Amino acid sequence: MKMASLVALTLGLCVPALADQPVLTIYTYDSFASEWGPGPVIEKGFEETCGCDVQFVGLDSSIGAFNRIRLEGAATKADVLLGLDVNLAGDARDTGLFAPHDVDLGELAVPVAWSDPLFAPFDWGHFAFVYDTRRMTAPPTSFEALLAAPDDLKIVIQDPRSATPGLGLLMWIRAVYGDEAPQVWRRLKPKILTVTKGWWDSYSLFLEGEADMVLSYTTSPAYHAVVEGETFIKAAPFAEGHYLQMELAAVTAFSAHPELARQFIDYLTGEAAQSVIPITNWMFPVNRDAELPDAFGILVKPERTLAFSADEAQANRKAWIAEWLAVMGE
Amino acid sequence: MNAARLAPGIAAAALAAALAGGAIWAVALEAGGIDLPAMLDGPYIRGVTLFTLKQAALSTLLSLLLGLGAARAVHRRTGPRGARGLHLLASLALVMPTTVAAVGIVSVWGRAGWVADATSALGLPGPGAALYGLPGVLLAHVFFNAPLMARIFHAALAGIPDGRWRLAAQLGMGGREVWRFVEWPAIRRVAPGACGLVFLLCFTSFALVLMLGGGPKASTLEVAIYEAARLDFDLGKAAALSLLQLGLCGLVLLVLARFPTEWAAGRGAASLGGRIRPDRVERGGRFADAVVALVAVGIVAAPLAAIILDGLRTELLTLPGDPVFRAALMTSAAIAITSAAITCALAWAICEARRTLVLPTRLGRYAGLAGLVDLASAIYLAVPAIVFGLGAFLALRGVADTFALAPFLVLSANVLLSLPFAVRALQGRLAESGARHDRLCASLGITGWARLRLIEFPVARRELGFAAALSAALSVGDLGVIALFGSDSFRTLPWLLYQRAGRYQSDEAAAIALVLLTLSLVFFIGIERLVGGRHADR
Repeated sequence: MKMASLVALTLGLCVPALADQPVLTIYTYDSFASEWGPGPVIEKGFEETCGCDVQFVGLDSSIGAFNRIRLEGAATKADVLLGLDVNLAGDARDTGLFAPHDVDLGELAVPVAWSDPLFAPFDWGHFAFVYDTRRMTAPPTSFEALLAAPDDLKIVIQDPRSATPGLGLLMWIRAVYGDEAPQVWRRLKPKILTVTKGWWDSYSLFLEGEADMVLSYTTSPAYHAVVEGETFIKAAPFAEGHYLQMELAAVTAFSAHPELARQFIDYLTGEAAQSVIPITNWMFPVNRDAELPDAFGILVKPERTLAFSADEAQANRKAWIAEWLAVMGE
Repeated sequence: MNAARLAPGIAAAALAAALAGGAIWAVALEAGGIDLPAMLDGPYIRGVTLFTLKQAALSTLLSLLLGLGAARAVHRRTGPRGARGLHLLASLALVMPTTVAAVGIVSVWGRAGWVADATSALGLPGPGAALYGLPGVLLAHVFFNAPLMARIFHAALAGIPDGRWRLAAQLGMGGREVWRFVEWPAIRRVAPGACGLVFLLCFTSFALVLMLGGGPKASTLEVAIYEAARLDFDLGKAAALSLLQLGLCGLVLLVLARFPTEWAAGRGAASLGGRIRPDRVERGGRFADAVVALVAVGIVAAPLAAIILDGLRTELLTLPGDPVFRAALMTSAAIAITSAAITCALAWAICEARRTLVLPTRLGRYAGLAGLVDLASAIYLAVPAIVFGLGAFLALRGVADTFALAPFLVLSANVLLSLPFAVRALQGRLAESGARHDRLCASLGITGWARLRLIEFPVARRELGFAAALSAALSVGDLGVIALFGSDSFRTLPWLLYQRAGRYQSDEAAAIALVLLTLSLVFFIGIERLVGGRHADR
């Protein structure tokens, strides 16, 4: 009896290998792949129809996953890369490591026109300064108001060299103020309590009551509303508009299953997968028919969406970071 | 015989150096060579380098002062219980995730912290944002490193034989003379090594410096390396900056290795320790100890209390039922124990070689080599985790499946990380034992395994326990390379913590942090008792 169950167990473990299903490997950032992220639900949903085995590999960040593919080159196991944002799309295209996705982007609900043959958006959100209504009753309603506020209004932001939102703020201020950006940073500087390596460091300082506002997303309040049932965390709408972050999906050029990879991206942007994005990744879906929880209805809706193209971001990123460093180091 | 005593240790040190240097070499090779001067020129790199040196030197100095003061106060005023307290603090500081520690510090000293609450209640001016900048960086580094320094110095003081204290009392020595003739000889034997270690830790500190430093003005070379290796993917620059970091740290270690070390301070059979110190009742001593206690409470104990209070959440109750958490706990435990065992074996071999090299009677002319052995065992601390990860990946690419090798890479990184701590914990006692027993063993023909079992182990058992406990604690807390190689099938507790916190689950992260601290305590006490014997914590 024991022997029989042992044999059954061994056979059971071998089934995926015996069935000889193709394995679709997806590199992404760790929280996407983790069990409370969108990864497991999307994996299950796609496996129902694809006749394949989806394997998520969660790395430290989307940039880490991209660099991993750069290092692996033609030998990469990755069929799909998820999570790169527009700021690095230009660099990614130039590596020649990605192939066209063939997904019809025309139907997608994204705030800017997007028709890139290599990178398909799968979710999006706007950067915003988030505050706590119990501590702040009249938050600034524009960059101008923030700059004019007394210096004891303290914000925490992230370093553009180590965190995506930090780079987003750099782009945001550039998009609003153009070449005036250095002067704006100079005026903003006394209000910056500190600049952290990652988003969590900043958010912790904010939750701890150290800073009045933190650079985060317009969707942050949705998390507190849905999971914690708390409504005192809000994003401040800025009159100049908010900078867009879009997360992109791409098929690798050396994928062993390119057709499957394309089908996956098609599935990822479809209604079923998109309906899990809001409450697992806390971002907006790219599919019009996707379900949105009520908490998303009360979020700040930017009057203007600001965004640079991938080319503009690529051409200027280094110079703008250097410029920022120079001002902040003064 | 000398060859047998030297070879394993030299090989171990060479291996450590080769792994650390090899990683940078592999990265440089991939970049197709590096143009060092061009990369390192420029005001930004110069400014960052100067700030890095400054904050690391100041942090080391302040940790040394508080650590020394605390060690003397504990030795003067308390028995084994105080010593145990120091042990626990040292282990806690070693596993603390940086964000957790920083939040603990700001909840005491920050704009909305306890101090601010107290001052505003009393109508006094509060600290405001004064924490953010060099003060915050120093406070955080002292929080992490003073307990470690205190533990090392306390062990040195506890090793002074009772006879010396009695003699000092008979001679009517005051506090100053006690320091000069009794304590200093014991302290200076361990101080350079401890300072070197703390300097390296502060030099390469990254997230903490940014978070409490107030902005890029206060950032370390490590940030620039991270930017080059990750955002810009400029491998040549990453390798060049790593070499700069390695060079500066190596220089500091070599300078510290030149300080005289003395092995004469022995250990009394039944140490009464501080209870027979003649300076116990002196007024100056009492005052100094009171000041140290106050400072230690403010800088170390209060933030720690804040962290523990923060971690006491309802999530603590649901964690044990979470299979992912249980798996991460087991992985962390397995890695910690394995890493501690390997680290201790390597450290022992290195110390054996080191003491043979510095013995004046035999190979005195090779004493310079001892400095190199020290350097080799510690140099990994100067190699950024991201560069080590890249290098390891490049070296293994095409040879093996790097994902499958992740546990081994994490293990070797942990061993390399703990090696300098273990070497420093062991080397004093082993060197002293060598000076005392070499002739006896030679005349009785006790060598090899027999000598290890009969002579060295009983003598150095306590230190071995401490070394093992330190290595285990360090490995429990390390995040380093796992972030680069981890996958869902291989996760450690710190990684789980960062993963959860990265998507708003900060309550759960605080609870995991408390589990991490508790785990490190259990390991620390358990391993130290198991290896070090019943009186390990004296």
